[in-house]
Amino acid sequence: MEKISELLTDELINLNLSSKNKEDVFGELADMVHRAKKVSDRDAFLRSLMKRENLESTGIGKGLAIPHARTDTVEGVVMAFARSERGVDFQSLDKKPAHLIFLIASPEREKSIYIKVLARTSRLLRNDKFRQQLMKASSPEEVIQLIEKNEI
Amino acid sequence: MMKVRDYMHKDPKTVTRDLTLRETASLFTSEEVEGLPVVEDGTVVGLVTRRDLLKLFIPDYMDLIQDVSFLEDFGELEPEAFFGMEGRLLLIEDVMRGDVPEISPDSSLLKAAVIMEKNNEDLLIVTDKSGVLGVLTRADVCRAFFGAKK
Repeated sequence: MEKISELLTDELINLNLSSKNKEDVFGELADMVHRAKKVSDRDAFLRSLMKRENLESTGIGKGLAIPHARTDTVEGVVMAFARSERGVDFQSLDKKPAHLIFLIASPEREKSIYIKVLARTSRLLRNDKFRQQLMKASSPEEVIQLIEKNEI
Repeated sequence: MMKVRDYMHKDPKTVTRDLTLRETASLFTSEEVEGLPVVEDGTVVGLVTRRDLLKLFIPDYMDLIQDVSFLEDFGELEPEAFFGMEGRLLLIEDVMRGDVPEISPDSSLLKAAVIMEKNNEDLLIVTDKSGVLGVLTRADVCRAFFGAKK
């Protein structure tokens, strides 16, 4: 079982996103996973994310966004987390900006694990208290500890 | 020879990548089909089946358990547990398979049956150069082999 707390590492967490719009956020996320050597081709990875996002926004309301894509630019399931204090317009259904952004990507062949990680992330984020704690976390280590504690 | 074209469902309902899974589930009911071909610019690019949708609700730990007979209750299903607000987080794009099990309309039903059995396919998409012509299910093959009526 792929656990979120095991997929995330310090270098895959950014608690101070500087981008102000969705496109730039995707660029920042792509840079982060590329720096962490999780993707073979940063631009192709970004295109996959944007392609999926253009079908339907992954902003799901309550300040959350879970951008995701299946792409063979990654070798296994990859996750990253970013937080934006000011929030980013993700064209979410509730029209509120996204503050907590979880990125999920996997190779085409690992569809089953990918969907389960997506489902687990979505389920985890339904917890109001957990979201508040993530907003207040002061370090990547604290984020991982919080997820570990709340993940079933 | 019993040919695929004589037993397939002609002009099947097709879908696009951007349909939400809730909309897809509704289609499975209204169309009474096992799977839906995913098309883009007239070409089949994927397949989504009822099985793909149901799998989402099976807890991870079930992968590790062979005998489920001792479990009498798996608990209640939480509404909106997986898909975010209004079920829009997951689309067909996210769950469809890209390696579509295709077969020619002129192939024999026996060939279709062998492919289904060997590859554990619930259905095959019948295509030619013009695109999707139909869908052939296990039920169609069974009906043909046993001479049963529709």
